[in-house]
Amino acid sequence: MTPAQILQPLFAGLSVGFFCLSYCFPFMGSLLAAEHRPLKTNGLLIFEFLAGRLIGYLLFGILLGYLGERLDYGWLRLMADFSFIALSIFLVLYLLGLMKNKSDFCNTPRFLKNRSPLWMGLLMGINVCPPFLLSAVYVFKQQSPLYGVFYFALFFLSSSVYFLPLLFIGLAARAEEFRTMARLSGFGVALIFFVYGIYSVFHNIRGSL
Amino acid sequence: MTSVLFKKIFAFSFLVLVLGATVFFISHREKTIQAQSQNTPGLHEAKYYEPFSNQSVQCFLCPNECVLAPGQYGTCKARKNIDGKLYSMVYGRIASEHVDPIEKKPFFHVLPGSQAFSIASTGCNMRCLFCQNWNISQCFPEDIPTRSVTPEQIVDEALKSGAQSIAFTYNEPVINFEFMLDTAKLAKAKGLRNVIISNGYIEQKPLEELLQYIDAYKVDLKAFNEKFYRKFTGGHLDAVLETLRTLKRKKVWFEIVTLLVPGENDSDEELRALAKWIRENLGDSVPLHFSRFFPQYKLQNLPPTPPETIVRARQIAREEGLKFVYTGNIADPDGETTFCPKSGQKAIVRQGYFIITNNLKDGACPDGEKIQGIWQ
Repeated sequence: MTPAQILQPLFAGLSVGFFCLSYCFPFMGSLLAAEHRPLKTNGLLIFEFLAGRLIGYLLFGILLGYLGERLDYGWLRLMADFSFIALSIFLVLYLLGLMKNKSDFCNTPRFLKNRSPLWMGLLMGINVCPPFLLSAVYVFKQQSPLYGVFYFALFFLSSSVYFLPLLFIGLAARAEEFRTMARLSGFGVALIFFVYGIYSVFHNIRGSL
Repeated sequence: MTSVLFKKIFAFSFLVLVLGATVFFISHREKTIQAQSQNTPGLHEAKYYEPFSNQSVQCFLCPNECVLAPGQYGTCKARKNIDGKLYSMVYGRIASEHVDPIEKKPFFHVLPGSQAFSIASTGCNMRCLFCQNWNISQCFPEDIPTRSVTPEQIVDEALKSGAQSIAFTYNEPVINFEFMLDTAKLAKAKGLRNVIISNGYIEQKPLEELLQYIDAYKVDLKAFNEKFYRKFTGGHLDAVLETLRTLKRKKVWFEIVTLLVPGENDSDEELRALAKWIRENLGDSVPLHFSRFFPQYKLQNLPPTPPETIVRARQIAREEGLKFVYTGNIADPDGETTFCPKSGQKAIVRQGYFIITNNLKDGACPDGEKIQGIWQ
């Protein structure tokens, strides 16, 4: 393996990491600031979210690799539109405390309880950004599944560096005013994405008819 | 009191930040979607296609003759059916541009020692497993960074660079037919020459239209057997031979390059048949370049072609009566030199892409024998 093959994913991740953060911030920020938790718990939440994002990336990568060339953009977009709707529902359920261990809301399945960040990360991961798409194209041209895994791991690690400051948002949640505003922003974000998701799905379906 | 106010301001800033990021996310996504839709730079209605009543179209630019449903790209990854119309997705999208010595193309009988302003888009109508430019030829236009340009810009830049010609090269230029045609027309009007470096896989009608503006055509004759074409390129030999015949008929200068892949297209019989066909159908003055293969792209399991194979190929072609046979990608001074056929004198001595000596005057050897080509 050449130094360029190691440096490329690292730099790609570093260069687009802030972009990835800005994509995830509306969801992750609201989630972290809505409750006062110890730093360690916040760290675990971020880790869970990032793990979900990694799984989303890899699922997409496998799909892309399996299909060989490329998914039709229409289908990709539709998948992302549905992910927005699901994301907003997850966020609202989480903010209302309906997905916690103690909750009996609609007999929430066990695998969903307390796993909101993971699922939200996964849904964000599905909604791939253009820099990630470019990286995916590069990887599939290398024609080595092993290098593909290595590339995405490094890309993921270096782009995740930008998520570390999110840890400290949780600290601000000690103040009641901040928590209230965070919940409010969470509901706002959920509403916007829900409406946008519905609009996009219809727009997309109408466009393909 | 101040502390409470500070907390409220801080909390409100957070709300603004979150909602701002949401708006950024959505607007950025919408812009990306818009760029991928019909307003994509480079979108230009294609020539040579036929629409059907069910919104499908059939492209007649190259012998692949792709039938495309709405939303589908052609094999070339450059032309797409959008709502029942065929569009070139690479018009004015330049993926690579360099000023190269014309010998690099290789053209050995075209303006020796001159520079060619060389441009490429993305995509190709073949799938050569040994492609040297696979990183641009086997991808979609949005897969790699491209620069949006107009034909006017290209011609201006070529003139400013001091190049004497524009070379449509690196990937298969035919798939960017409309842009190449517009640029070539303009370039010709401004006194530049147009040269194409192509696999020769094009239908006759578009070829004839194109040739009105093309000065020199380099054809990659990848082998002289259909099995090789099917196995390694995704194209067909007959269509390429037809292109060569048309070039001859239309009196457009052309040179042929054959990359010799060990054990696949380098047998004595095949090389002899190739040279014989060229002499009988195209004439003995067509320059033929044999080039050495190096493992590339999907054909990494084969060794590089032994240099002796290339030298032997040249010898066979000369025995078959071809006057100008060259070798490429190996150190072979004779194989890089143009000899005057009658006297055997050295007409042009090259080293790599550079001219060491040029004894031709207006395309004639010191003994007065004319050598075919474009010399000024």
